[in-house]
Amino acid sequence: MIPGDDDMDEPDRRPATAGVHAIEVEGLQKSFGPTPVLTGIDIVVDPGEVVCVVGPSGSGKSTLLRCVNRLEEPTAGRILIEGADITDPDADVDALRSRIGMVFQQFNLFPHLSVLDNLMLAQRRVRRRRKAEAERIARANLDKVGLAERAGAYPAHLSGGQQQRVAIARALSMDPDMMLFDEPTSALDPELVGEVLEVMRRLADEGMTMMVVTHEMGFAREVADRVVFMDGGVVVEEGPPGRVLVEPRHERTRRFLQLVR
Amino acid sequence: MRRRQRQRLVRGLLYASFLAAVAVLVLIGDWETVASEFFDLDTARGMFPEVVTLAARNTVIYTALAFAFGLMFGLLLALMKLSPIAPYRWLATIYIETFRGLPALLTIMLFAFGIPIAFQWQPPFGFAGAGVIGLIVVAAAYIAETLRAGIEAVPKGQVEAARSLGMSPAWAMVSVVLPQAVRIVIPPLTNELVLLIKDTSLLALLAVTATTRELTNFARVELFDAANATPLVIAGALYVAITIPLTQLVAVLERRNARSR
Ligand SMILES: Nc1ncnc2c1ncn2[C@@H]1O[C@H](COP(=O)(O)OP(=O)(O)OP(=O)(O)O)[C@@H](O)[C@H]1O
Ligand SMILES: [Mg+2]
Repeated sequence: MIPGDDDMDEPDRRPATAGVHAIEVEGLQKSFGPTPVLTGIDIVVDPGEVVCVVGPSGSGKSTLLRCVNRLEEPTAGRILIEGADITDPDADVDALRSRIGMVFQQFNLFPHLSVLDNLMLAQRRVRRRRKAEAERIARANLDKVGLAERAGAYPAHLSGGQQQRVAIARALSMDPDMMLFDEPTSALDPELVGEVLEVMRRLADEGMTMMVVTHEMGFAREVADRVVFMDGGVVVEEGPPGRVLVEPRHERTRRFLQLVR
Repeated sequence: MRRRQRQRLVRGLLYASFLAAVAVLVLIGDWETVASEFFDLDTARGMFPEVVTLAARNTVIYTALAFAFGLMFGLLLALMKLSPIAPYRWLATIYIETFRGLPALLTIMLFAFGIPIAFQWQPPFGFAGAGVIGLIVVAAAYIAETLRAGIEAVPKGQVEAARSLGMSPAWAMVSVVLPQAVRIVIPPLTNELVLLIKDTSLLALLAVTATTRELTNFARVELFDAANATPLVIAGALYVAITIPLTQLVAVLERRNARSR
């Protein structure tokens, strides 16, 4: 059993639903060659829940997130996306991925396409939307991240904060059921962090299911429903941010929090 | 100060010796012979218009054919070489290493003489056709390596972003990776095109018909007919006239690309 399981007796903020979990990670292990990186992870994310994953560098947070949409192939364990096993060899991975938005630390916008085309490409190819519809949805999402007037720009002509907001809008244009964020503000100049966090905060308020790897403790404290602290490839403890981030039970968590503060 | 002076002295000496060499050449050179043997107007006049309408035209056609098909097969080979399926990789590697290792002339002779003799095969359009096939086979090997390098130079995050949006590997390749790879490989591909233009001269060693002669072959026949070197100068000038606009056009394309980044 993972440490911190005893947190489960704390009152859940959301009513227990009979429906399936949005994300269910069961006994996930991942090694790169002989090097074990994840050694048995169990995490559940419910629909509408915001889970922040924190932990020291190299603890396997990115690897965990990348396993969830199978950008990394798990070595062992199962990952269910709304009940469907994405680790199943027969799973329609492309279809499952199209329901999981992902935002990367390095933005990964397509540099050869305009902002609008960045948002329309997968809508057209994967969702098979007609051009007019794809453009309407793209513009609505650009508007949502406050970049409606930059539709014609190329990524290289945008600031880092604008690029990351475009990346979020690109993911949202697929109408995902959940969003994964891997340190979305770590590559940004400090003065640009706020605008991206603001967009994420609004997304959380709208009820988006989110799994966020972040070093922004303020964001985790205010926005997360639950915080997961990882170290050395395992979940050390998890629970409401008010508990994990303020009065952690484990020494490792305490030390980590002292370092990032 | 002393270093500057010494540099100026060295440069002055270099100029002086260059001028002295030119002066010696002018004094002892047999300029009448040079003019009549390399720049004979009557010989030159006798070559026109066929040297352009036939020979240069054929050179351009052979180059265009070899490049277009070389690009097609080269792309196929590059994708095979990057394929997760091992036998495809092996096939591509064997092909590329073989035809980059062999002298182009040997490959051309293989298709012009070797295979026709062995299999009673009639190459389309005779020796010229066989020669162009040989050029395609060689060009594909070089172009494949260039394209593979270009594809690999596109950051991995680009494919991951495309896949995380639900795009299939094929769509990610076609609409995200290849457009970026093409920009990267434009300079080395131009190089290969220029090399290919010059490689068409290898067809001069095949006994092609009068109407399928390219520039070098044409110049060689004229050289022996007139017992005069002027045809080599004319052919050389035409090669340069073909390659310079090409390299300039690509420079313009590159600058336009750079601006949209
Ligand atoms: N493709 C890979 N091949 C080999 N080792 C890898 C690979 N990806 C990650 N690792 C290793 O796995 C470990 C965990 O990496 P991961 O990126 O998941 O950590 P992280 O918690 O996201 O760290 P950070 O906060 O620095 O992003 C690290 O030791 C890393 O070196
Ligand atoms: Mg990471």
